[in-house]
Amino acid sequence: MDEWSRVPMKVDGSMLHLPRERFELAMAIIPRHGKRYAALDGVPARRVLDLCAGAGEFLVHAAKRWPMCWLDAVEPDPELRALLEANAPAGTLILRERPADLSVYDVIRTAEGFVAPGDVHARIVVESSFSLAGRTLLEDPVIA
Amino acid sequence: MTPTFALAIPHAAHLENRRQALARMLQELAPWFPDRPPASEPPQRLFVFQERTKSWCEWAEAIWAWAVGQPTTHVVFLNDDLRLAPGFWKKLSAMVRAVPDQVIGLAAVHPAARHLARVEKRRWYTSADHLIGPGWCAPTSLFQTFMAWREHQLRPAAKTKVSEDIQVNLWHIDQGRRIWHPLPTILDHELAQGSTYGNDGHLYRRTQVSWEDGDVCRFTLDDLEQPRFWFGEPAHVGRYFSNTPYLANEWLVDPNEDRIADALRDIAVPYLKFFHLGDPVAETHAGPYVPR
Repeated sequence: MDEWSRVPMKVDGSMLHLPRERFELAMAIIPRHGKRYAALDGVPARRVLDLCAGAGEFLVHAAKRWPMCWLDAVEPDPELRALLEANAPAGTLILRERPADLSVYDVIRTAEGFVAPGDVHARIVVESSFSLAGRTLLEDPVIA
Repeated sequence: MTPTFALAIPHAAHLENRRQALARMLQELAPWFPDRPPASEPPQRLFVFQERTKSWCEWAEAIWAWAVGQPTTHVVFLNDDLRLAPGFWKKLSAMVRAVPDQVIGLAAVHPAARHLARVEKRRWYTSADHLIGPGWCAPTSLFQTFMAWREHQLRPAAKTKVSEDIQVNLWHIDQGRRIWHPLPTILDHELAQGSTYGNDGHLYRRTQVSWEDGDVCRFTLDDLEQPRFWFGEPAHVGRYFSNTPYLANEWLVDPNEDRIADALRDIAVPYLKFFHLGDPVAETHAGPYVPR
């Protein structure tokens, strides 16, 4: 991914590098992260897994929400993974595929269809997206 | 070499919660060695300084004056508000067997520490100036060298105006030495105690990788008691504080300009990205460096 296709963006003290095509989306949702994930307020988490990590926006949010948590991230797309490596908080383990044992995680973020309800004992954050006029938008997540 | 330790603890005995914390710590620290060293070895020593002083420099002077004369191989300084790993002495012994001749900063709180432990799989990192108060260990002979340096190279006023841990950092800068930090480390702040320094809002006050992180970083508590666990090249994270070279220029009797220049340059760029909660290296400092 060349320099022109990534956009640096400072969010709540953190400098993130985002794909240009996700920039508008990020501008829309990142400042609202606290509200988007309000259902996680008071939820303790030591281990967090992001199954659709993208450029790492949620991981940065998670590192602020749970400063002592350990983060794992799955992102199969090589271009996004390059950005994820630049953005991921210290200690994030970046995986190419879903780990076999999900039971060790306290919170899992995923997209629709990645995790079947009830197959792990964790708080699950399910993001769903839809397209509108050629843009990808995120709905508010379902947190179970 | 069988390591032996002299432990000094400055204790805020006027605070009930600190009294409770110290009692718990001393319980955790005993017995000093399950397998005691041979009788020919010098004994372990303990000094708890609990006079109420007007400033930190009085207790620092007292515990350092005590420590410098100890017959043990190593001196250890711990605050009285810590959680300690079980088998603390065995684990510290394993560390100093692997790294016998360095100052070990037991408060391993660098923002890159988690990356170094988990992704780079390091057992140590070194810093230019990141020794901080909660706990550290030094070979006694090296500590004596520091105390001699302090007498002739640190301006007298620095002893009351520069905190005790920063004095140790200035010595490292002046001598071109590095401070070693273990991954994982074997102590953590007991945050419920609150800071007597007003450091409650301090970034990275918590240990970043502790003995409790074995499930994530793939080690067992027994591993930490094996010297071979602690073998391996450290990563160097450079300077942490923006102002240490400036303090060296200000407070050393005869500042070594080459060493200060080295310290100014000693920034580990690959790890700067982990200062995502704040960046003390890149933040403002006193202005351009002007040699005295």
